[in-house]
Amino acid sequence: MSPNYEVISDFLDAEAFEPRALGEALADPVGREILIDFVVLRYAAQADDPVAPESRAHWRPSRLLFAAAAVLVALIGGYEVGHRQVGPDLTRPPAAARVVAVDWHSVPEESGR
Amino acid sequence: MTHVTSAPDAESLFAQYSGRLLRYLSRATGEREVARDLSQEVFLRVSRTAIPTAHENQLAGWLFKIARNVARDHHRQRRRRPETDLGPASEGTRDAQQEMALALKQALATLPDLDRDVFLLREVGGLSREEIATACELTPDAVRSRIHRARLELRAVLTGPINALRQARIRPLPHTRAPR
Repeated sequence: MSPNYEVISDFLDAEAFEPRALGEALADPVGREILIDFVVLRYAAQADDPVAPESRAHWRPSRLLFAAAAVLVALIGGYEVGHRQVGPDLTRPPAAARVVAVDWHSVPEESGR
Repeated sequence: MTHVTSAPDAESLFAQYSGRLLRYLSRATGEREVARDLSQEVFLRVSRTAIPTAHENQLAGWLFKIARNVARDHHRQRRRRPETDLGPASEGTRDAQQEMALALKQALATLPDLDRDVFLLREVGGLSREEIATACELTPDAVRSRIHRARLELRAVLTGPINALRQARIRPLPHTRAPR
């Protein structure tokens, strides 16, 4: 007579079970395989679904646009902040900001120079 | 040991069960975003209903009964609308766990509704047989038989993915809960 494998479910579910019946079920190689497979099945059912292909349908174009805009803003903002925080290069003279033209011939004689 | 509770408010129920409900609805619908919406719907219905004063296990059963109804309503509405079939995810990029997740999702869809619900309430919702009996209006003995049958059927259908996962290392799951 084949053992009653339902006791394996009882054991897994932390419900009342007869140890003798569980022993008989697990003495059988099929029973042991069932126990391992049920544990794997439980693990698979409880693990977060990493695939969920249907959930990709919820990636609407508006979400993608929003994500792209957020990345762009972050990049530009990061560049600006970095640009401002870089101090002036003290090893080189500053670039000319304006050129002052002086007409030496028009300086009056009585200025004392 | 069970505790007799005074009728809790919807907020405390939400705090206690939202995670388990979300996981159950996520598996029942196969879509996490939809599950979030449905879990809100469950608590909306709860907030409009007089929450019974009951043993804690009966309260969980009562709450998941509402969740089952919400999931069933969703499936009915879904059948009226055409579905977008995106096809299988790209081959060669999935590991054993991902293969199993996809295969399990498909296998669950082939189970009779009640067997699937009983299996998910036990394995994902973490309900005891007594709680499942309340949620599904069955006797605990019927729940026992259905859980075992569902496991055997899934095992038969998922031989390949189960064997692949048996070669991997299984991490402990943080939300495994022993029934009261």
